[in-house]
Amino acid sequence: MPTKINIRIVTGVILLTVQVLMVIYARFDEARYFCWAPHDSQNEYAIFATVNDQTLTPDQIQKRYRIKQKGIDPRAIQHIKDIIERYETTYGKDSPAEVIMHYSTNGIEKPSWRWPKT
Amino acid sequence: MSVNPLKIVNNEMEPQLLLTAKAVVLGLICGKYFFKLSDHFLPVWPIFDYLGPPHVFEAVLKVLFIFGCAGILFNCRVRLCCIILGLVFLITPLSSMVSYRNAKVFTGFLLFMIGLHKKGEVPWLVQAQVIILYLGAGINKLFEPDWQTGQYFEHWMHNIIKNPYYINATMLLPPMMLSKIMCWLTIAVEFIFPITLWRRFHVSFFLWTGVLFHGMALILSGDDFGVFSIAVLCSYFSFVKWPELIRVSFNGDNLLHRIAKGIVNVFGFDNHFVWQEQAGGPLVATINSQTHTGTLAFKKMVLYLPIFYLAVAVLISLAPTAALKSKCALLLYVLIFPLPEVIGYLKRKREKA
Repeated sequence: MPTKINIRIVTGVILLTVQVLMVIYARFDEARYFCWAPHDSQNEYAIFATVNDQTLTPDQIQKRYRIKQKGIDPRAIQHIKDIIERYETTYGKDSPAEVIMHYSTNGIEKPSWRWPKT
Repeated sequence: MSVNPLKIVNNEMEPQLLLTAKAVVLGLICGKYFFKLSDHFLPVWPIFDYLGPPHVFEAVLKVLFIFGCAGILFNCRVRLCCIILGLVFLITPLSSMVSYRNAKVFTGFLLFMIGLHKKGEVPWLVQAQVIILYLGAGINKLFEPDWQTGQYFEHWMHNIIKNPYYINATMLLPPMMLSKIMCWLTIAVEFIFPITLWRRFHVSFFLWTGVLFHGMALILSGDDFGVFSIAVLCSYFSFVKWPELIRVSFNGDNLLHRIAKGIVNVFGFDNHFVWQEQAGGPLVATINSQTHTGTLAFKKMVLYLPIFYLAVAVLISLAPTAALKSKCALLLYVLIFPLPEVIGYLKRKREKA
């Protein structure tokens, strides 16, 4: 007699497996999506951006990326880099910005991050 | 079917799971998560950019949010509503990288897993979700150099939270020692938790430890991390067997017993308390074939009143300042601290000796 596959259980198991795989994947990547890393780092950052040699104001930066120009983020800093990078390669392709982000992780100063990558 | 939001016994799901869902929903409503649902913007999967105009997408999410919350609160198609509300919070971070928050993702997974379980089943998907959460958090921290050295806690407490008690405590110890202890303690708890829960080893003790662990985080930081603390603490109900009936024998001549009966009758909407008068006897409550007497019996009865947990969820979510949130957490811990159980255990041990 064929075994009846329970869709509910299979769906649940797939979702749990994805999370386990993301936990493993996080060991090889700076980003921390869907892998349960809440408040694993405290990142103080400040974003500076110019478009066509015009420096963007904090409000313009907030409007462009929907993140504060300056703040503390308890997610991995890679998430902020991903947001900027994704914006510049998609929505902002026609008016590209040059971005520099100064940041520290857990109080330790890190080398500034730039977009476009040099 | 009753639409009373304070009732948790229904035909679709286990009462403890519905209690979890209701507490989370209250946390979401009080935390104004309705206004935090946004349109698709820089989605993780580009397909979301093609799902209609952004304002329509946002409106659909908000309608589903209202539908899901209302269904769960008013006991209408609760499993379907849990799945819908869970999906709303799983779709949000996928449709916008900016709105990725662990609190939202965990809430999404938790509600979705709750919705997958039928009444009468052991909620092992929800239990597995809790275990994966802790295991994942433990593994991530273990490999972070700043957690190994204590630098994370040192910076967080001194420069971000600026907790005066913690700062004063660090002055009594060698540099970084307290922060290192706190970091490793956190990692240890996050590893011991899943193993203990998985092996069913002293589950109740570790559930209390979990309440202490998250309660301390609330007290130290004054932050409920969005709806995260409420969702995690409520997810512990999946490891608890909610009693179908609680048999209570009480002395009708005793004023305190009558007050206890009055309180439980006013706030217990599921009619799961069966009262039996016994002249001259103590207050005795039999819950899941365990018998408790006196103050402990009353405390246990209160702990099986859903309104208690729903009120705590609302209090913590609505507390406007960090200091008030800390006080709510402290009050919760004092109320549910197993002091009578510890005293009873010590007494029994002494009698045996």
